[in-house]
Order: sequence, then C-alpha cells, then structure tokens
Amino acid sequence: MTDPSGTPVLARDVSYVYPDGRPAINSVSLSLGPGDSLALVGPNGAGKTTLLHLVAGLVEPTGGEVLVFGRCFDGKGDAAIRRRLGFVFQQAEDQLFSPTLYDDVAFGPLNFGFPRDEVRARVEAALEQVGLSGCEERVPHHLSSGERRRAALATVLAYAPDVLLLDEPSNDLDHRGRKDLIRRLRDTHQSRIIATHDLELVLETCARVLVLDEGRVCAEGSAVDILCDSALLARHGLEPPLGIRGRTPDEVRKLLGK
Amino acid sequence: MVGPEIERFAKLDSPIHRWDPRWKIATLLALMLLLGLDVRGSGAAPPPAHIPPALAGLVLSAALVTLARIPWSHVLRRLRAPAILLAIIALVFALSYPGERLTLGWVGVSVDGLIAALLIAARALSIILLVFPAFGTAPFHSSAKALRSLRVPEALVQTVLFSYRYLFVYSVELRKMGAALRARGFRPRPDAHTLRTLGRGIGVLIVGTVERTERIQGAMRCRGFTASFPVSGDLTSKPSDALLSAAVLAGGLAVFAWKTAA
Repeated sequence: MTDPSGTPVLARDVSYVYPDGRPAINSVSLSLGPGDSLALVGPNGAGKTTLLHLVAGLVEPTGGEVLVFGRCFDGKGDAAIRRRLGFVFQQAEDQLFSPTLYDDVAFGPLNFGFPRDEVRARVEAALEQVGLSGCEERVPHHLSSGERRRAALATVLAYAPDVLLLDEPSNDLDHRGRKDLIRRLRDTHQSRIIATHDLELVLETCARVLVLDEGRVCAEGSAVDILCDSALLARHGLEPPLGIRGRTPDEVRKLLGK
Repeated sequence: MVGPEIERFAKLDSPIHRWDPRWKIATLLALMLLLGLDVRGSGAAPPPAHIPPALAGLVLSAALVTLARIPWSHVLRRLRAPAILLAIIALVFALSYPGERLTLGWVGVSVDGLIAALLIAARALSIILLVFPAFGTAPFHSSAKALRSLRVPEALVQTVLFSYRYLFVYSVELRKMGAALRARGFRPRPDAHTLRTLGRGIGVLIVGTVERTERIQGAMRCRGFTASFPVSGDLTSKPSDALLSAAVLAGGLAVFAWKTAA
C-alpha cells in the first residue's frame, strides 16, 4: 500500500511483537507532516525507541504499516527512503563506529553518493553546526560523552535528511549543550520525531506530543495541552516541567509566545 | 582511558612515517617474506653459514625500527612475549634435535638444534620487528585504507577495523565492570563464587556485545550502508615512496641472495 500524498511519516495501526513474544507496540498510528515536530513521551519501556526503529525501517512491523514519503521499506528502494531520514541513536557510541570523526560524518554522504568534494564541505559544515570544527581527525571514542552526542547529530546533519528521528537527544549533554540543541532544533526546518524523557526539551522544540505507555498511544495533542495536564502525566509516570507546573495551557502559551 | 597501543607512535615524524602506507605495507610484507623464507631443502640440517645472513636480516629490521624513531624501550617491552616463546622453542630444539651433541655438564645439547633455534629466533624477530614500522607509524585507519588499496578482501579489512575500533570500548567496559564488582566488596579468590561471578560478568559482556553489534548495524544501515565501506580520503604517493621501497627491497634481496648462496 502507498500514500500518494507523500506525508513524511505515516504509521497506520502499527504493531510489533518481540521475537520472544512480548508485545512492544500495539496498534499505534501517527502522522508527521512537512515541518512537523512530534515528541514521543512515556515511561521506560513504553515503546518509544521501538517505534522510532519501526519508522526507520530497522525492524519490520508485525502488523500495520509504516510509510515514509509514501513508500514502505520493502528491500527495493530502501536507500532512497533512508536518504530522507536521519536517525540519531540513543547511545552515541553505537553511531560512531569509524576510526576518525571525519570518516564517521562522511559515512552517510559517501554511501548516499554525494560527490567527494561536496562530502568534505558537508562534513565541515555539519561539524561546525554542532560546535566540533577542527575535530575531524579525532578518534570518536576519545570524545567526551557530550561531544559524542553532538558528533552523532553531525553524522545525520551531513546529508541533510528531510526527517530527523532523535532518540533521547539531550542525554549526556550539559546545560550549554542542551540549550544549543534546543536552539538548533527550533531553527531547523526538518520534520522531526523526538523520543525523550526531557519534557522541557519537548515544550521548547515540539508542537505535538504522543504519550505512549505499554506500547499503546494513551494521549495525543498539542505539547502545551499535554504537558500542562498533570493528572495525565502522573498516570504515566511523568511530571510537568518545573517551569510550567500549576499554570494553565493559555498561560504557558503566553509564556512561550506561541 | 585505554589508548590505541599500536598507534602510540603513529604521529612521530620520520622517513618511515612519511612513507605512503601502501608502499610501506607492501614493501615491508615483501621484506618479511624475503627474510623469513628458508631456502634449505626439506629435511636438510641447518648450515651454520645461514646464521650471518639471518643476523643481517635482523640488523636490517632493527635499522628500520630505528629509522622510524620508535623508542627501543617500547619495542623491547613488546618483544618479551615472543622472546619467551622463542626461548622455549630453542630449548626443545637443543634437547631434541638429532645429530652431533655438545655436552654441557650433565646435559647433551644438539649443535644442529642450537643452529636451527638461532635461525628461527633471528628470522622470527626480524619479522616481528618489521611489524612496528609497518603498522605502528601511521594511524590505523590509514593502514586499513592502504590494505584496501592493496586489494586485501573488504570483509577482512572491515573485521580488523571493527575489532580494533571496539577492542578499546570493551576494554573500558571490562574495567568498569571490575570497578563495579570491587565497589561491592568482590575480591577474586580461588573459589566457586569467584568463577561464577567472573563467568556471569563475561557472559553479560558477550550478550551486550551482540546487542551492541545489532545497534551499530542499524546505525550503519540508517546511513545507507550496504556492504562496502566508502573510502573518504585519497592516499597520495610521491617518487620518494618508490625510492624508499626500492632501497628496502634491495636490502632484503641482498640478504636473500646471501642466504641462497650460503
């Protein structure tokens, strides 16, 4: 089945059962339009990372379908779909496997067939974007955890995907690094899905929120409405960000200038 | 932090460091072959005349290590393990080789055995010494690129590269696990509890390795990986690379010719 509208990400009744028979995702539907920003929040083990893996085509749904720009992963045109998705993994160490940072950042653009001269320029630009200019020859596993996190982001920024899939992007970042990430995400034109526990990051960078628990969608709505609903969040082991506790959605919108 | 030991002296400046890794690896591998080849017929006793060319080969290898400016203290430390192995081989040869025997006190040692052991030791050390300039004078990724250019099978290069890349990650994890065990009062003792604990620890590390491998594979697929690694930089060779290779190979061929004539 295809989606002629070419919505960046469309998941219809997607389910996934682990090989040992445990259900991970149960009939989840979501759609991400051009320029949309969606946060996946929920307690540990809610299925956030698995849902991102399903969208990225790393695991095959056991039910339903995932379409990326109207196409599903079928083994034929997967490279073309992957070119449009940029997945930053939860553990940066998994994403940085090359002997030098340059090789790691160049890995995607070279695989996707960018000309060599352009690759160099892209690598330099991506590293500059994440504040790692001049670190091209550094060994990735010698970087600090915060630098590794930023380097992992550079590996996908280098080929300018249309959709960013970010799994716990603020992990390991210090205050300044986190602020930089928020600024960068707010400035980006790319559609994005962010799986995170960092609800302040959600409030500042995402328009919509999907609350997942035990593999099911428990709530969906605007970030402000969901994050101001203390009772809803408490039911799923979450708490509203400190700065908006006790405030109404309208007050928060005014505060954020939305 | 665990450092990449083989790359410890990769950033020095010497003619060997400046040598194009492709020329360097190909030449030094050929030199290893020339120095290591045994030109005797099968079953023939080792002639004493082979000792001088074998020692000349050792001197040639040592000269290349010196030219590479790799500190001898580092090299000698690394040679300890092979030296022990070679000493055991020498002992076995000296005691068990047939032929004329030399009586040293109450024990008789074979002269041919001693000559054979000396030849093996000299050739083995010559080859081991060449590993230092061959792979210790450039970042490992440059050596991997050179191996690819030399048409070494991609799967082999990738396996070596990944093993090298993650060896340090797992060393760090092993150390962390050790620290976590010690923090909870664990002290290794010769008992079943220690064996069980270490067994579980290693098991967890292996399972974690498999899971991490799957995640890394996922990260690679997400960035368009299919089967072969893209090469991001080009190696460039200069006329001096060929000249250095010719000089080194001439030395190797001279030793080989001497060995053949002996």
